[in-house]
Amino acid sequence: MTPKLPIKIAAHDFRVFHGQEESLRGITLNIPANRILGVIGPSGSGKTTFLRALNRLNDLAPETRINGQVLLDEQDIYAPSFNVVTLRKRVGMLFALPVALPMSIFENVVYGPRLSGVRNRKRLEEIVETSLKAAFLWDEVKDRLMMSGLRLSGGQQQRLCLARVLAMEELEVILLDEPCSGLDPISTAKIEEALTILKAKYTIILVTNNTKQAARVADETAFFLMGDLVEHGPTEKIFTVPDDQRTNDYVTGRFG
Amino acid sequence: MNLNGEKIAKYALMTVAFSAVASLLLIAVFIFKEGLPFMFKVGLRDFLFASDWDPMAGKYGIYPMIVASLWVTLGAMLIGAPLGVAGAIFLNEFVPKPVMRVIKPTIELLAGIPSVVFGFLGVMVLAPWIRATMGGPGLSVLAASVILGIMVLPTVISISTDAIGAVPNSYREGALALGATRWQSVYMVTIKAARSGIIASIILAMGRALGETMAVIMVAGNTVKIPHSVTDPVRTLTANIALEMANATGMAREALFATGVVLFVVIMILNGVALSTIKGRVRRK
Amino acid sequence: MRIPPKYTQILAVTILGAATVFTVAVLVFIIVFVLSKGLPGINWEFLFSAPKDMGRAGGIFPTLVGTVLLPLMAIAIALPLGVGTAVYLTEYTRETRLTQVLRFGTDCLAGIPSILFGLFGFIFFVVMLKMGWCLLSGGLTLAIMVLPTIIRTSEEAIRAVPNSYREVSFSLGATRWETVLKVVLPNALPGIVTGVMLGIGRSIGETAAVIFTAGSALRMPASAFDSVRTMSVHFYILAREGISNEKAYATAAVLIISVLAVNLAAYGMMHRFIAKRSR
Repeated sequence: MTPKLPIKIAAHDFRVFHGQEESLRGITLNIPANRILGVIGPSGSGKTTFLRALNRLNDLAPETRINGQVLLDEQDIYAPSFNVVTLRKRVGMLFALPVALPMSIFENVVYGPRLSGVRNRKRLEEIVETSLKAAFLWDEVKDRLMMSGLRLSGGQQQRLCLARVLAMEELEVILLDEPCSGLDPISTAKIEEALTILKAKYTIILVTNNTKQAARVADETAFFLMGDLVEHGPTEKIFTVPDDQRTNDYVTGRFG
Repeated sequence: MNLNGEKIAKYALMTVAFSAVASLLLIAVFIFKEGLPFMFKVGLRDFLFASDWDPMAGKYGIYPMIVASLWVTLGAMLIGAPLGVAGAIFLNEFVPKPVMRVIKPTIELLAGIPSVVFGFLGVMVLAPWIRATMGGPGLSVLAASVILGIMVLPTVISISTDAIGAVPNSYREGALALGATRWQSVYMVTIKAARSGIIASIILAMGRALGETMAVIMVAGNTVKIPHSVTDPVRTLTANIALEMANATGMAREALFATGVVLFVVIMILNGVALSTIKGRVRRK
Repeated sequence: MRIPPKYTQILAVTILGAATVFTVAVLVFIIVFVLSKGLPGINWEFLFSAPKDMGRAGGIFPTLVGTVLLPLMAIAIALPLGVGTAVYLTEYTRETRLTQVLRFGTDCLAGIPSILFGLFGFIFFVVMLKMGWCLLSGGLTLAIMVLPTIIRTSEEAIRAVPNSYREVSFSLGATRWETVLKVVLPNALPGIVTGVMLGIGRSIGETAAVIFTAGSALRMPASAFDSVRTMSVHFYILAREGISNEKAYATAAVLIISVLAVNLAAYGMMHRFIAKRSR
């Protein structure tokens, strides 16, 4: 069948503690490159914690500690020598609620490139156009790039956020935290379509509460429950003949 | 460059963050450095509890000024506190929200009227009236108390209103549901719940009244004498500092700093009490 | 005999209402009184010509200049310190013993009466640092005085910036300082400006701290090391030494109008800020 893909991200017995509470209990998971990994599970299962650990956003919460390893291209991202700023430029994140920064559409998109030191106006304009096209937003906003990003609709804002992530030249991995939870079906479809195209270039990890969405777009699916990784495998297998009874119960809608 | 700049920013900000505390310490150190040695040279008794102030003759008793400051401050509170608290209660409980939204900022705006303007009005309007109706020179404990009482109104109203506004509506509704009238619910529930904020507003206002200088100089009369009636002229601690500062040197100047020490200590105690009463209740609501 | 609740209610509301009306009336009276006495004396010449004969005649132009320069200098010094402190307290530390001490210090500084600022500024800047009575001594003293106001308003404004903005910025590879510069401060700006306005308002009205540090020379300052007289100080001297009641009222009217205008601008700013935030 498909040739064995290289491993992009590997977690080894990875644990996250929030104060006394253990939110992730020893996750071991290999994530292949250029695939969409769907992460499903009921709320509170640790999906989002896992996602945020991958670009070290949980560093910002003061009570959080970690244990174990996460390797990106075989480098430990939690090693003291690993530059967290570089990490976040390589691993982009899309949040559950679309957050357009209160600045123009143009400035939203070039936020990352400007931080990386891109100054050339023409280069920035190119970046804006390619990123917005890749996020399926270009046609809707190309005539009003100087308008505040806050004036876009929710669905448009989420695609703006996607474009903002795609604008980063160092980008290799895209993390999505229930990106469609607040969106209408059309915007959702557009984002899903964008993702299936983008996986040729990026590794994508999609946390979703909507199991159908995982079934539609994910190549592989991981099922989290109460901080444990219950099962991980090809999406068809997870949704048809899972190994674990709990996975079966969840995907068939018996709980969650 | 990135991470080095980040470190520089962090340490620069950390240094800057000490500016307020450093200023406070600097102020304390300099006022104490100038004032404390003097206090011990003259002796605490002859400084704090003697009644003769005559720097030319080497007499440095500030007792009359201490008494004057107390009288004037208490007088100001007798006028400012009831009016201010009554205003805060009325605005919060008996006035429609839109009206309150106009009146409260207006009152807070008035906090910006410079103190010298209050003092001037005291001289032009209040003092002549006191002289005409009650006798005495007009410039007096009473005049200073009234002017200061008016000056602290915005402080009392503003902080008390916040405290009363912070009382959850469910408390009032609970009382009203038990058949209390509006006033009973205010009296028995709201005021009790907002008590600490109201008290804090009064203490902070007290600090302001005690520390006020220019307005007091203009209306209090400035005679160094223990007052026997509210129509007597007096000189407060703050007025003493400001009046003699311009031409004081040597011991006389040190005496003024020593007066500053007394003022500093009393104000810090008042602030400390107010801040600990208020803490976690009204502030950063 | 017990008075029925219905009547205590009426009685209480009447008393409270009367007290409120009285309070508002007194405060409004003060403004109306000063303006009615002072406005007739204000004209172009009064504002823009030099005083003659100690202020008995002529205008107030040098004091107008002093009233602009001194608060501006105070803000120029206090703004970076205050905003820096606020940024440090909100963005760079968690609640610790240290931040408690810093906040307590700020609160205490806010409670110190202006005469003590005057004493300190005099002994430290004027005498010890040998700067003399000048614009700079006064500016530094006022800067310390308005510092707590700027710290508090900035802190509140910064806290009101949604956390999601910071997360987005970090997730796009921004460092903390870049996030502060590009996202936090621009969004906190209206609140910070409000604090600045309040600080300016307080500086304009201040007398005790100014007179001992900036002096009271009645001429145009040529440098930061020249003594200046602000309108407040000028007004105080006119009124206290009985030089001219007419000029005193006119000066007071200008003073009140300036302070109210600055404060009003600050409130307007704050309201727009709050309205925008709740949208």
